[in-house]
Amino acid sequence: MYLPAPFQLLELHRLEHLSRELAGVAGELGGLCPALRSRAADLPWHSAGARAFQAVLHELLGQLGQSGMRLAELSAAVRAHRQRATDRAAAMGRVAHTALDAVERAVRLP
Amino acid sequence: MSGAAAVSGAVTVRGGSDSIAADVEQLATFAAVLDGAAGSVAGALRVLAQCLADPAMISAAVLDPAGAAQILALVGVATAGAAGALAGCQSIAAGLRLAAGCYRAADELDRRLAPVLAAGYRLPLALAPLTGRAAPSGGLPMGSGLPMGGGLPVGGGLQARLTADPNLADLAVRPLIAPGTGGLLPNASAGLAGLLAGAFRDGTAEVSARPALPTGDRNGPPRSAADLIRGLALRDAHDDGGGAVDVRILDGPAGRRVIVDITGTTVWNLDPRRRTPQVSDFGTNLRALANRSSVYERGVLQALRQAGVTPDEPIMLVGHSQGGLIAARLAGQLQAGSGFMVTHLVTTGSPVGLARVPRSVSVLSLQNQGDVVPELDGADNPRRGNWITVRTAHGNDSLIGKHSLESYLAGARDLDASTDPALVHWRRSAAGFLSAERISTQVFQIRRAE
Repeated sequence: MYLPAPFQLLELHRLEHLSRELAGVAGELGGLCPALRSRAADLPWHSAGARAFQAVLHELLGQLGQSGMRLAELSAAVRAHRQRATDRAAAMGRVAHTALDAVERAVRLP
Repeated sequence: MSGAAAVSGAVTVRGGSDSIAADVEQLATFAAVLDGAAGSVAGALRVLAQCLADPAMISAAVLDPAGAAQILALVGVATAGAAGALAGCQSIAAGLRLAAGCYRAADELDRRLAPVLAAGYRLPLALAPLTGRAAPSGGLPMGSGLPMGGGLPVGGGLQARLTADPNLADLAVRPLIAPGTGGLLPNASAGLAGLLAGAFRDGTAEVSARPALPTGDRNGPPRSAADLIRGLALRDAHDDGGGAVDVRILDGPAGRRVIVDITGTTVWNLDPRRRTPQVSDFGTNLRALANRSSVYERGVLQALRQAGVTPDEPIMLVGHSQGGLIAARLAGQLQAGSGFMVTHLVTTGSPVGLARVPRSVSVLSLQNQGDVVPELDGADNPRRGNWITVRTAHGNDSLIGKHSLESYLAGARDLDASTDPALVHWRRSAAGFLSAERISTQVFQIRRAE
């Protein structure tokens, strides 16, 4: 989307980059869960202490999964935020452009 | 074999009883995987921090304040969740490493301790078949100075290993208990013995004269170290179940002298609940190793009194195995002013390295190559002017053979033939005991009163 020069100074495209980064780490955390679960399954757990340890690990996997989802949600929110900000900047640019045209025409009338 | 397995199992349980049962390497590998996960979460936290600091986010907030507020809230929630996950990864990885370390330590402990415990457990079993004695009160008997059997008895492999390498007992025992050498359990010998000794009832000594038991008086007074050991061996062979001591009164140009023969362990009553009237038992061994008074020791004092020994008569204590340990403890106590005066101590096959013997007492310690008993204290005998340790090499390849009084008698003959200046000096010092004209032996039996 084209933004007038003053709005380009806002560097809203950086939000897109940030969103991609967030999506990347969200995917990374999301991918950790099955990998850790698989590794943990390989361990020959067979004591009461081990079962308690597994419960802690299960909680961690839940935390990691939830963090991944929140990061993905945040990534989408940042992308949407960038979109709305850009749209508004463009709208403001159009308004400013129209206003400037009107001023220019008024100046030329005589 | 089953006993060894049980001992080994107990050690394994101790190392890992409350730990996580898993392969150590797998635990360490999984900890490394969690480290990687922690790195990923830390990366996510950095990106979250950028969300708040990026100028574009501030610019966009002007254009979309509602969106910015939503993002701010989402960043807060995501940051809290990721921080929790990071802490979880790090703490679980640390826990796994700790568990893996505990397993390794337990393995190391098992590796170092198991052979010693197994040897300790098997020792009485290995010795029992050679003794031919019944086990009083359920205890396992240990005979010393008895005829050596041919071939290896139960535990033969263990015996062969221990006796084939004279340093093996040192290597096995000292890394665990050697005092002041950075051992795994410094001073554990005395400490552990003291702890265990508390479980055994010590009791009071009951001393009775045993004139019917044979003596070596008809052979005349002793003239050499071999004669001293021969007298001890005779008492050991005729101790009527244990706790028999000789009080041999010598008379000659040097005046009256007294030799006391103290024999070794006869009962390996490993179960403290089984009471035994024999004072020469396992509980006495533990008390002596822990440097604590025992009923055996008090019985010897009573025997000296009953024999009419006076405070100014020089005494030579001669002991084998446990008897040497008891003798060493007595030598530390019986000095001028104490009622008796010990001037000489002769030990054979006794762990006396930690005994507190005063410099006024002349000590001669015989240690046979391959005999593991003198190594049980995990300490070398002191190197002092008054303390001579003589190493000999006799006996067959069995533990009992190396520890027997027959082997030490042969070693004493070597000693008598030696012209080593230290031994020449010892003979001169002990001349009063080796030049008597008359000898009269009184035999006493010490028993534990109920």
